[in-house]
This record gives sequence, structure tokens and C-alpha cells, in this order.
Amino acid sequence: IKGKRMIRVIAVLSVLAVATNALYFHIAETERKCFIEEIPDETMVIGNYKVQLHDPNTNGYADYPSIGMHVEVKDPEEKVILSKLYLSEGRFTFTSHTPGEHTICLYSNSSSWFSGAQLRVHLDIQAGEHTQDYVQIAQKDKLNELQLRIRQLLDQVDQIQKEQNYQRYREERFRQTSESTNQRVLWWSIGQTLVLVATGAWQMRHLKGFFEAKKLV
Amino acid sequence: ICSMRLLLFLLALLSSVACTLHRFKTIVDAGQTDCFTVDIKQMSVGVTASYMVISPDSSHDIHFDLRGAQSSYQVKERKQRGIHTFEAAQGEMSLCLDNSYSFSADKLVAISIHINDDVIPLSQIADKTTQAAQSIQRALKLAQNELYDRANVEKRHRTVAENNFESINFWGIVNSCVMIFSSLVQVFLIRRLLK
Repeated sequence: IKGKRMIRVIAVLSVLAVATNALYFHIAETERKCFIEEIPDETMVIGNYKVQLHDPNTNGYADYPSIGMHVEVKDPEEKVILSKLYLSEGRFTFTSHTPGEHTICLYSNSSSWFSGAQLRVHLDIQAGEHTQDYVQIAQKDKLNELQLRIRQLLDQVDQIQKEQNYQRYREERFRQTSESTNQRVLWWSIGQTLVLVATGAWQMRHLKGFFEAKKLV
Repeated sequence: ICSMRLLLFLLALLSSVACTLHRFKTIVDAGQTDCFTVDIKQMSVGVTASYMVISPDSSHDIHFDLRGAQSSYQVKERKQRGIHTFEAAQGEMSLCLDNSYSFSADKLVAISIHINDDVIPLSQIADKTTQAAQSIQRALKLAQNELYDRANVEKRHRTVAENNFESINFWGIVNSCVMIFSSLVQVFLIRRLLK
């Protein structure tokens, strides 16, 4: 009986956790809204969303179950890793395999029945250790509160370490770009000097021939 | 007793989760205005909103319009980056990025909205171990936020460096063409002059 009460308490608290201050924005029906997440590799990203349609009668926004939301996720090499049509409310998940900027694009699939209508999209994107469901882990591994707390701290430290490694990789790329730019500047300077000298030499030769032909020299 | 402790612990766990953080990067197309709204449920809560224009260039800025609920706070500015901390009243808080004055520059803007709605303050947790763990967690969260900000600044610098890399080629070709073209024009004019 104690266990059942515990599960109920956990369920209530999980609901409380979801009822936080949510973010929403408006898009037109055929409009596409993109978000960029810069994440290291092997990181899971979870997005929770809800779509509501503008109701001109009440001048508010109401749920409309037949609207679908198309979610398209592209990896740093512009390759599509997730392209699925979801319901008007749901969650999408993907795991990154290469570090870099992943683009998450959302657009609705509704046709021009509700032409010009505005959609309100509630969105919450979580990446990394925020995606772990600790309530579930506590139940599965039978951890007491101290162990769960330490597990959470360990996960957080792991995530920070991953971020820092990724930061190192990005700064390496930055340094390579700067060094390539320096090299390019050097080659272009040499090249342009050669072009100057060549055009000058060509001009002298051509004009010398021209003056000699015109019997001016 | 055991269930009470677990209840308190889970509340403390959720308080670290319930500290709401909306952090994302979005592209505002040229000529468009993008607005994001947060529905604040508490009566009065501390909010920190920050934005930074990452690309196309470090010299670009964006029109930032922040409006707290019930006219509690209002900011209208046009800058590259900014941080605003204020007490938000209950209701809808909206944040608008206006890029309508730009013709061709699509701006990538990093936005971070941090809402301080901690359920249980640190001093009320009875257990010392839990208190210590909770404070470590908060410190780690701060460290993560710092890392994220620094990553955005680095991204901005790297975008400038990559743009430089591309423009070197472009301007090199332009310079060479101008040189060759002007030498041809010179020869042509001299020939015409002496014809």
C-alpha cells in the first residue's frame, strides 16, 4: 500500500514538473520556424510541443486535434535525420551522431482550409542531461534518495565534460580556419604582385611594338 | 517517515528542474518579426532574459522588444547583445525580435530566458546532505550556463573568421580583374590617342 501511494505521489509531482512556465510563439499556416541546437555527439534531444488554432469566435486559441505538425531535423552536414508528421500535441526525440549545429524545423501540415489563420505552438526543447527521467531511473535501479541525487550530479558533470570537449573541438576548427585564412592572404598577395608585374611587362612590350610601328621611336 | 523524506527529496529534485530555462537559437529572416511569449504563472518571479546576435556578422544588431505582463517592465532597444533582469508579474511576457529594417541579412539570434521559480529555497531543506547536493547542483547549473554563453561568443567569432576566409578569395579575384582591366584600358586609350 505504501508503494502504491508512493507511485501516486511521484505521478502527481511529475505532473507538477510539467506545468512550468511554457514558451509559445505564433506561426502562419505555411510558415516554417527553425531552431538551432549546437550539441556534442551522442546527445539526446527531446522536444515537447502543442499546437493550438486561432478561434475567431472566442478570439482565443483552442485545441484542434486534426492539425498535424511536421518536424524536420537536419544534422550539421545538412542531412535530414528526422522527418516525421506528428499529431497536434506530442514529443519528438533524436540523438546526434556528429557534433555540431542541428536545425529543428517545425511547420504545420494544414492546407488552405483555414487560410490566413494563426497557429500557436507551445514548444520546449531539452538536450543532454535534462532528458533523463530520474523518477523512472530511481524505480528501475531501486536507488534511495542520496544515490539518486549523486547519480544526477554525476550525469550533470558528465554533460559539462562533454560540452567542454566539444568546445575544444570547435576552437580547434576556429584555429584551423584562421591559419588557412593567413595562408590564403599570403598566396593572394604573391599572386597579385605577379599579376601587376605581368600586366606592366605586357604593357611595355605592346606599347614599344606599337610606337616602333608608328615610327615614333 | 520514509515517505515524507522521499516526498521532500522529490520536491527538492523538482525544484532544481522547475527552475525554468528556455534557451534556443533561432533565425529571424530579413524583413520579419519573430515573437516569443512566456505565460508566467506565479504572482511575481525573477526573470533574466538575454539575447545575442551570432551571425551573419558581429557588426549586426537586432531590434529587441521585451514586454512584461501588466506593463511591469518594458525594453525597446537595438543592440547586438543584452541582458535584462527584472521582476515579472503574472501573465504573458513577450519578447520580440524585429528584423524588418534589414533587406537581406538573416540574423541568427541566441535567446535565453531564465525564470527563477524555485519551489523550495535552500535554507528550508532539513537534511544537510541534500542541502549540500542541492547547492552543488546549482553551482553546476551556473557553470553550464557560463559554458553555453561562451560557446555562443566563440560561434560569433568563428562565423567572422569563416566569412573572412571566403571574402579573401572574392576580393582577390576582384582585385586581379580590376588590375588586368585597367591595364587593357590604358593600352587601348594610348593607342587611340596616337592613332
